[in-house]
Amino acid sequence: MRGFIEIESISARCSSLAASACLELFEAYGLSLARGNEDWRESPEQLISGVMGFVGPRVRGTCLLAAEPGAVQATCPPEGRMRDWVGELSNQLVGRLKKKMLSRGVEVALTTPIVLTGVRLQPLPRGRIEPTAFTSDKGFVLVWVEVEAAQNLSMDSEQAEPADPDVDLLLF
Amino acid sequence: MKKILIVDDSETIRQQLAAALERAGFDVVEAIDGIEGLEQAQEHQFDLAILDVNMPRLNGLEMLERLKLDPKFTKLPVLMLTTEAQQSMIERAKKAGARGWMIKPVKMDLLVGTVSKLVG
Repeated sequence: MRGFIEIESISARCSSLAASACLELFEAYGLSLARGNEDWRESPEQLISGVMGFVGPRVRGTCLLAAEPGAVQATCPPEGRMRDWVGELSNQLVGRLKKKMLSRGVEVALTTPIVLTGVRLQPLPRGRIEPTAFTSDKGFVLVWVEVEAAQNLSMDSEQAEPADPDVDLLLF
Repeated sequence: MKKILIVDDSETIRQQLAAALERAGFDVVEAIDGIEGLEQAQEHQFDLAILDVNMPRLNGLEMLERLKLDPKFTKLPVLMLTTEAQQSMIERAKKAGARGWMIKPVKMDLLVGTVSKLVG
């Protein structure tokens, strides 16, 4: 685990992968997102947020998903509670991010999620990290990823890692 | 009535699965993690277990492996239900004796159909 540093290109790639994962996840639950602007910075809305870590031999980091309650509620099953559901959404978001990293030869294990709430939530990372902001008709959604990586890590393209099954069910 | 054990740390997911399975005529017992899942498995006679993977205390793969060490559960069908899709984890589940691996978000029709097939 020694020798991990912040690498701008890796951070940018992970942020891009997390943004794609977020779009796919909310779409899967019926909420279409579009790239947003800076409006979220002025919003007085209470945000609800899930945080998950990931760690592997060549990379480690944290992913924070924050959203207005309407956006979380819109994806929540009728039986669900917001606090629990944002944790599950974070879990599924980072699960999708993990899959995208694996297809680029980067293996990580996931932590379990932590749930937070507050106004104008944002992380205080060592460096300056901007979230990917999305808007929807139910409110905005933000995703931050903070990453440290081994100095020789490359994630430029999909690698020869066996493709993970892109199916809903495997029976043995 | 066939009895199903659902183990997931998300209350929302547990309730969503339980509602769908109960509508389909199954009896459902819930557990919040692998430790509680193992306890419930000892207390009830289940026809199938559905296990999440990423859970605190004892994750679904660890629970599966511990469960299958007990000869009493050798024939219990286990379906993994998770956001994880890593090949090595799927192979580990298969080797431990799971019967299937389902990816979240859950498609309820597929889940109920699969459970019906595995307990049939």
